[in-house]
Amino acid sequence: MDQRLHNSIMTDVELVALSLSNQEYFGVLVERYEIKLGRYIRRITSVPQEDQEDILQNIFLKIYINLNGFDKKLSFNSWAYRIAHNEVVDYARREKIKIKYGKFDYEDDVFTWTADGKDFLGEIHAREDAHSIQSTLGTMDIKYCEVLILKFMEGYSYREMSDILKKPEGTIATLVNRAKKSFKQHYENIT
Amino acid sequence: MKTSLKNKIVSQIQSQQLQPKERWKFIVQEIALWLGTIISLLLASLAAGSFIFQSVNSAALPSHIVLWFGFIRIALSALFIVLAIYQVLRIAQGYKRSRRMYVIIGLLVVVGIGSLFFAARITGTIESRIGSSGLVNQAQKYWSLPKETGLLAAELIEITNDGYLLMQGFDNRTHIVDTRYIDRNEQDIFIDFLRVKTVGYYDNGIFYPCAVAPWELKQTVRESRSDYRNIRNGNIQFSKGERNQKNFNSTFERKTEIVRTNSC
Repeated sequence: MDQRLHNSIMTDVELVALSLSNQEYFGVLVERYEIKLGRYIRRITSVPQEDQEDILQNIFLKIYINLNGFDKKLSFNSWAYRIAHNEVVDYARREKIKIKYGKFDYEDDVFTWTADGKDFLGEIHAREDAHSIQSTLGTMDIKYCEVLILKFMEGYSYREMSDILKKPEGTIATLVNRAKKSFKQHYENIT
Repeated sequence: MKTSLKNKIVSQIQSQQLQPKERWKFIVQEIALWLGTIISLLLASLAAGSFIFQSVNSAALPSHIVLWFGFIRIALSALFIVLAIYQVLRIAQGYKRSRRMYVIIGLLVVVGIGSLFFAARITGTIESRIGSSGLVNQAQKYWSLPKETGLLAAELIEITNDGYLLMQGFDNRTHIVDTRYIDRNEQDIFIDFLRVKTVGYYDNGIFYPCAVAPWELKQTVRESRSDYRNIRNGNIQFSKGERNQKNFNSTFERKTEIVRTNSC
């Protein structure tokens, strides 16, 4: 079997186990997650491109160093996103900057909403207009932006968001509700 | 050509000879968090048990001690509960429950275990063994300044031929006690209980009690003395005598006046 095909059908958990003895398998995990995590970093922070690359590199190194700490009760995806989220927070703390909502390139596929997200926009009669959406998110509290991005752009369930942000599901549900109200309020102020 | 991220990461791992952290370190960390949580809850429970001890024995303590020791013990208990919650949130699946749930569980556990510690005399034993910081020592000191405060707690060691009582205080000083101003029932309390507390005044080297009641600190350390059969709550009781608490309490309220006027 072609090695790349073989690697592509291996599960994340299998790749984690193999990575512990062979770094090449970790490279497969990097390839599998670099686009996703890179997009997530661009969504939640407005740091320059080269800093985003540094952050992404640090994330994968932290994932590698902590492979033995991977909790199999979580999905690898949630665990990786958790490390990514923490690394962005740590980066902001180290550089003494506030995490600000990321600036999107309108042509970039960074700015896409899931079906649920589009439904939400429809409910509040918001157009999927990149500029006003981005402006709205830019005025909101970062903790609300985070949950809106995870829910309506990354498409995660409350349970997955709970694992990523290390908060109880009930708290996540409350945050999402408040985030939606906040978004609606800020959107109406902007438009 | 720009190096792919995968190649950058893999070559960095190889050049820096990075290794995944060993599994046992994660296990040790997890165990440490669990132990830390349990120890914090136990310490919080001890503080809570101590607060219960103090509340139950507040009649034997000065009011400022009741206030300050009470405040300190509640603060310590709260601090250790917060520490326990801080640690439990960092345990692998600890984030799945809300903080409010942990606070409720923490309070229930601490009050429950604290009550058990009190009932099993663990708190009383600790309070008697930690010297001047302990409530037992504070209570004994409070009742060992008869000249200044009119309060004397002591153990009957002898009745002289003249009818005086020789009593030994918690500070091992011997006091001569003249019971002429208390009625027969109250005089019997000295014989029935041996260890008593009194409110009175000192005059010419003799202490005159105005009221007496059995000395008692509930749930303190058990004593065993070969010469007495039954020592309970610091109290040596030979018979079910009258405890005289009501009269004692009302006389206690007048202690300052009694000392000032040298009169019951």
